[in-house]
Amino acid sequence: MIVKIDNLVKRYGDLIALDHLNIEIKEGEIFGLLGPNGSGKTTAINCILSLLKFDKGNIEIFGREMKPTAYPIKQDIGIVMQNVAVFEELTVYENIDYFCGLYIKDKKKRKELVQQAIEFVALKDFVKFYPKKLSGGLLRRLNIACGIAHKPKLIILDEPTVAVDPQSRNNILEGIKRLNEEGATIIYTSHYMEEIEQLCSRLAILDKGKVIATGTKQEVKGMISLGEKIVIETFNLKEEHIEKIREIPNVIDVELKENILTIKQKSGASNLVNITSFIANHDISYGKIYSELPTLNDVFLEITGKELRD
Amino acid sequence: MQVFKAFRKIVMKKFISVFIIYTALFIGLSIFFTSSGGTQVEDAFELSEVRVSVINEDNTALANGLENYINGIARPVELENDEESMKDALFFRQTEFIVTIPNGFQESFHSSQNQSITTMSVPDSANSEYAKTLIDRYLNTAKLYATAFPEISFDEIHEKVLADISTEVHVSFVDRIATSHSSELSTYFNFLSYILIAMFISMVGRIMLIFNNKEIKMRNYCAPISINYYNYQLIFGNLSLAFIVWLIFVAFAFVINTGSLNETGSYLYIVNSFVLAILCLSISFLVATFATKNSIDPIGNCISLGLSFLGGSFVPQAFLSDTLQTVGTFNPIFWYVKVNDTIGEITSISRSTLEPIIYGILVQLAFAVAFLAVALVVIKQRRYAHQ
Repeated sequence: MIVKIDNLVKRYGDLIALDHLNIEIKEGEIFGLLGPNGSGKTTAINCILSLLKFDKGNIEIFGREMKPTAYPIKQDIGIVMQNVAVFEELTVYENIDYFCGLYIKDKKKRKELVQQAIEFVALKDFVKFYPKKLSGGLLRRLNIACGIAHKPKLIILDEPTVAVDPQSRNNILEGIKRLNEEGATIIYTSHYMEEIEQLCSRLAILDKGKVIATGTKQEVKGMISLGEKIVIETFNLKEEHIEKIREIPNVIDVELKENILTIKQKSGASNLVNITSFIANHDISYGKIYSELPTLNDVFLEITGKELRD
Repeated sequence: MQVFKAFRKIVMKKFISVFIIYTALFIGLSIFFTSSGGTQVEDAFELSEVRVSVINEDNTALANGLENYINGIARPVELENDEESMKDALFFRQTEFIVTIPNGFQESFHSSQNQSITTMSVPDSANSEYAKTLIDRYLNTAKLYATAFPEISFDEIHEKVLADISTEVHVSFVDRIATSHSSELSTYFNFLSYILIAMFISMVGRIMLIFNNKEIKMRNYCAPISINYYNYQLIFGNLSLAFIVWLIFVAFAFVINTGSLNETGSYLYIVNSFVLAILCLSISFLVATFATKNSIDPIGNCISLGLSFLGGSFVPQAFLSDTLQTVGTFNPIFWYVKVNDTIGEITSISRSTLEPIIYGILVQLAFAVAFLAVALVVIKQRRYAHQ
């Protein structure tokens, strides 16, 4: 086990930021921490890194207790903060060299690692630039380079794609996959469920400081009663049709919004044939029909009763 | 020493310009003060001439003698003998003091009911009081001669009176080192207090703001270096910077005042300015705990100018009011300047002459420790508040 969080409680006055948090992260996985803003993701990360004192619980990293003075553990951790943490007064190269130098004393080795990090985030053409001159996406890439240059075994990325354009976001996500392929264990926090779905092998969904679901994507989705969703673009649907669709076996819910009919099924049941037959039999005109598997947002919605982005 | 190296790089890149600006300002002002001979000391004396008008209605030997005497010591301004012209001249400050010698003044000089001279002056004018004193002195001396030697003429009396009252006394301060460099060094080192505070707040304060940035700080705390080691490197960086800046300015003091290094007190100026550098450093630390990137310059200007003005860096402390001098005891720059002034007055180094200097230096060190302690408490409180 690379990270083991056991019964972690963190309070800010009366507010419970982390409520008996239990998470285990295995070696070589990309573990996602998903939750809306204020759910406790960053607090959890800060506790893992010993940047915050916590009220109760225990955190182990690499099988050893994590403390502010656990320097051998810190040596193997790379951190990419939510807010970009670089010196405005130093160039791209100098920034990466500075943060790498906090971990690697050997100058020659450090030089190699800095070069590798620059190539990894594709900032070769910007090494002499000051952070102010970089775009949002490039700045995020610099932030990542500063966090991973020393080749850590565990990399923690706290919402690294916030306010980044789609192209840079894809670059960043691809880079994280490559880091994982090279052997690093990744903890990735985000409130973008698409990123977590795309990237993570296992995940935990947080809400109000509690883990409300954890496991692989399939395991998490299997926790809810919702199965596939059938979506139909339709133009002459009547209220009586909706009522009849509701009566079809395994249909949980039917919703019509601006000519888009969404039919939710029970988990493990397939109704696509029944639904298409119903449409054909009742002469309902339609544009397109497709089925969707439940998303993490559906999981969050079913467990908490609210959307992830609420 | 990664933090120290980053500190050095940032200083070299971003703060050399600040250093050059302040150094140029300081050198310029120092040269100006030196070349203009503006040795502002509280015992400096310069004779000034008052604008005086004499209306001589008597036109006798005594009246003419008095008129000649007044015109000799003052700047004579001619006026017409009518009240309107006199009032206008005083109102427009063409003259400050008008003396009217009435007709029959000499005749009645011996009698008890003598005609007295009349005067008009600008209200609250110190100069006119001075002029009155001089006229009294002339007339009193003349009366003394006229009473003692009734046989001699008023022309002779005038000669004798002039001979008596024109005697001058030359005063020299024997208790001073009385070298030309002493007061120049004192002025230089007093002014240095302003430059060091302004420069340190601008440089050290801003660098500390960079390293105290929340994101940078948290990112550094994630690294395998202890907080203490991180802080030691910053302190070492700041001390190095302060030492280099101080060294340059101290060296410069003896470059522009060539030959003054061997004088009594020179080494005491150096020690006192070194303590000042430490004091300014701790003030900068404190400022960096509450200032922001945008507010640090205005705060720096207020603190540097305020402390320097109230401390007597620009004007001699003797010219400060009693209230300011009392308040000044809470101003560390006041003590720095006081020590400099004391050094400027010593003739030899002994226990009794060193005592007030050491006392002043200890007070400055106490201020430095206090400022640093407050800064550390604020930093610690913030860390706890964050956790």
